[in-house]
Amino acid sequence: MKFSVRTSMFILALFILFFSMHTTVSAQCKTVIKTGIKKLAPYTHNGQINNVNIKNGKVAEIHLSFYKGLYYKLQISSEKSVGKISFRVLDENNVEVYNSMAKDDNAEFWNFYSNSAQDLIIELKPENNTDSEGCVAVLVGMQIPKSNNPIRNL
Amino acid sequence: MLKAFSIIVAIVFFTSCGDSGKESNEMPVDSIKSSTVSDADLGSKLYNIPSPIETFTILKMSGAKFDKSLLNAANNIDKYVSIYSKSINLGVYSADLSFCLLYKENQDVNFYLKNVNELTTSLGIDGDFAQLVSQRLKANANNSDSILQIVSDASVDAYVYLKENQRNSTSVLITAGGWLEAMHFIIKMAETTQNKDIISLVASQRNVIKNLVIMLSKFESDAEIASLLTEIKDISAIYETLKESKDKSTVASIDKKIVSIGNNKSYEISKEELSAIREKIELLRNKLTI
Repeated sequence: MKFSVRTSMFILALFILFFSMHTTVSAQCKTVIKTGIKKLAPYTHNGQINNVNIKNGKVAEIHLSFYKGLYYKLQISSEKSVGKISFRVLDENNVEVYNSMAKDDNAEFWNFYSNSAQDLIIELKPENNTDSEGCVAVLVGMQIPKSNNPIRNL
Repeated sequence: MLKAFSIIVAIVFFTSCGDSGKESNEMPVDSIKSSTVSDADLGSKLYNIPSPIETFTILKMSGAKFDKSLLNAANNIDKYVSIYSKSINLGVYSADLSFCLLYKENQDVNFYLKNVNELTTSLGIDGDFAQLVSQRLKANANNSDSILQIVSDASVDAYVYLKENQRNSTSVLITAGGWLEAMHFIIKMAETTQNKDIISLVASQRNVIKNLVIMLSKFESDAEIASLLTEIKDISAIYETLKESKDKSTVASIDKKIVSIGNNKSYEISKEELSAIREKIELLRNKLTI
């Protein structure tokens, strides 16, 4: 199959456009993650990078395991294009233990103490713009309790 | 303490992210293709497990001491030739590195940092860890902030780079290697010391291994990952036999700002079960690292 010069130029232009957009998306996601990590302070980043691409107002789920005996901070960070993100935290029995919309919080983070080893599900959803698409990250911070041996104390 | 801890966490990010990697010159093209799975293929549910540094934090809190004999020998690196082996052992060495850093064993830190850098470069992961190594070796107590910044930035850049290249299986293998090494540490220490907190940490891997199985299952079309998954599932099967002691969910405030979350559920692990899990972990680790 032969393409005319004009068609070839058009394909090339499309390719360049796609490549540029791809690079831009990645750059934005890097910023989202790095911003989230900075916001974890004074908690220490636990080393996980959990990010998803949210599309068309669909709910995304992040399933994480937590240990007994640490304080944790869940920090939500997202691209401006997806707008405000609401999030819920569900326990292993699908019981809601936190909802950012429930109180007047409207928060981007949530702190808790984990009194047992457990799995939690973090549900993420754009609050308003259902046509939006973009990178959303959940960063986890941890903090050692001040007591000498919190594991034995619980 | 907090700064040092942050540095460790940033360095060992590899062991707790589910992503991908880049083709280096020495990689066979077929291998790259077989391990290519995009984010779109993975669906809207993301699973992850605690990083080794998180596990070692609990370990250290329980009073465990540094034990050099548990580390994977630094000179084993020459044995790792395939992408599979390099990915797994990048996770293993990252866990070793985090253990040395947590216990401030600086001489060993340098060995393992070099190995992490070598495997990272060899796998074509564009995290600029060569710069990191250089900075780390020149570092002193007064410039830890700049090291932290370099490491943190390099880590995130590398993570995003891996995702871009849609080699999520490489990332999952790194995660699996890190988990395996952390398991090796905690289960050996649990048996040696009979420390209840460390035994409890081993038992708590029941939740973790479930997520790891799900993470690996997404790539079971890859023969090597399928084989690894079979062995991880064997270990998971032992965990399924552990007895549960409580199961009622509770959410109780411990102060005005922080809620205490958990179902107060724990698992009892017998000496026999501990021994059976240890045996399988050691067999698998020996197979993958030696």
